[in-house]
Amino acid sequence: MKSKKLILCIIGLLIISQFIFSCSKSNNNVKKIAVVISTLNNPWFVVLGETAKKRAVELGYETVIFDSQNNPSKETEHFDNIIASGYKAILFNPTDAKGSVANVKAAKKAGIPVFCMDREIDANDVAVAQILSDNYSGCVLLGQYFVKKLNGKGNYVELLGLVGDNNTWNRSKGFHSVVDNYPDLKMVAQQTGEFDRNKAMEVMESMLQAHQNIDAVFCGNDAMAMGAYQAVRAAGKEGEIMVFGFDGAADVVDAIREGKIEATGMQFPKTMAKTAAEYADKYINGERNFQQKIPVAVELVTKENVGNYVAFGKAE
Amino acid sequence: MKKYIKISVFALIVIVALYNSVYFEKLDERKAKESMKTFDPKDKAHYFWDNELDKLLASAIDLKLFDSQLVDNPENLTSQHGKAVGITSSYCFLVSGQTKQFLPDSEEIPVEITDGRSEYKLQIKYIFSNAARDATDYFNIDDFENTMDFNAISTELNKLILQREVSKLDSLADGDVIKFIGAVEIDPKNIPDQIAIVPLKIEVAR
Repeated sequence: MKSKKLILCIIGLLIISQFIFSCSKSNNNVKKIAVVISTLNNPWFVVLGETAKKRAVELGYETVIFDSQNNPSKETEHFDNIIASGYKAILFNPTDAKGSVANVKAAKKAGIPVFCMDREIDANDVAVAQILSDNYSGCVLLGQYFVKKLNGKGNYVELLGLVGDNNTWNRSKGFHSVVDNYPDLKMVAQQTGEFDRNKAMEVMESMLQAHQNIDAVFCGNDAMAMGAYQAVRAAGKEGEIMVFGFDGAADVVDAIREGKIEATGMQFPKTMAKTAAEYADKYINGERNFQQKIPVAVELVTKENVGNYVAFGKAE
Repeated sequence: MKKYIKISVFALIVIVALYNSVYFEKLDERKAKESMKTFDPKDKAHYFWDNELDKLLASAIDLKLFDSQLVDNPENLTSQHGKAVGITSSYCFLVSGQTKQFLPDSEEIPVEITDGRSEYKLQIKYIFSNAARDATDYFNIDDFENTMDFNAISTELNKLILQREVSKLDSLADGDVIKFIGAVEIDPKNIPDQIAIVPLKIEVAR
């Protein structure tokens, strides 16, 4: 009797272990891609992350989005977890051009390919590819339109993005490569709004108190443009101060249509995210020949052509 | 005696270790080496302008041919002559042409071509954009550590255009012919009313 029970127990254990083994085996067969995004506190990056995830899922991967909350140490934690969890690739939107290099190096060392989206890292031999907006050229277009709208004269302020992000400086330099040629256009203040709507509103409020005669504000992204617009409106200067943004976010495209904001640079986050996911898939399937940096063109959106655009892209 | 041997061996080890970890170098030599490592867009742009540009300009197509192909056969035009960096619908081209029209103190010179379908303007006051860099197709984005450096090349090239080429127009007289080779950036599927030409080489024929 006892031996019968023992045999039944052994058979039961065998069945359970077989079940566990088969489960773990099937999990190993599912290839996983991680999507690491600098912050999900901005709709633009939500679109970037969600599009990357959607495309990776379409290509047959299990995909998880990690939010770095604009915090480099949080980003490092995510990379540590991703490396330990057997992911096959990382679609990466870095928090810092220099600070994020170490994370990409760690992933590379662990044999996990990294594909940067929208923001670049200051290294061209660590990530497999970097798909980036052509911020400089986009802001050259914005700068030309800015000059046209102000007739080449007036006082303006600039709200910069995060100082550790190359996009901040590419945008600012592209803009200044144009406007600095016009001596009657004077920048009376330049300060960071950290790509954040609330921060930009606070900064703009201070600028409005310090400078009575501002004609325009150039913002390094649309979230800041909306914050600046709110501050301008609260100060009763709507219609007096022109606001310019960069991104192509839904609220700014609508604001351009309504004449509240003058212009923005339309980036194409969906194109960048899809390209990154497709490159990752090609890499996993054996391809190794990738261009390191792939700029994606930015287009100028104004009241005259806003009908051709929707949030984050062109109208179908 | 043993004590002296021990001290001598220890001293020898210290000397070898110090010799291998400390070295002296003249400060000016050190600074020169460091500056070599630093990215200098001005140097790169000047080298390109002085040594490489002329060879590349030989591939420019006549503006009249460009104008007709832009409408009649844009696919052929872009595949044969267009240069693009990254994912974009815009292409850069090298074009050659000439004009007699000159309006003093203007920002641009109109370039008329017989039976032309678009209106062309040679830029002579403000040079923006990456057209000069990208149409010549000499600089590879992957050779730069970051895109800021790549864009700094455009800024320097645009300065050189004003300094070395546009300045040739300072002594222009009525009736002079301006021959040019320039860069054009355009989306062939969305042709604007006016097309800007960034001059890369200007010759004035009297």
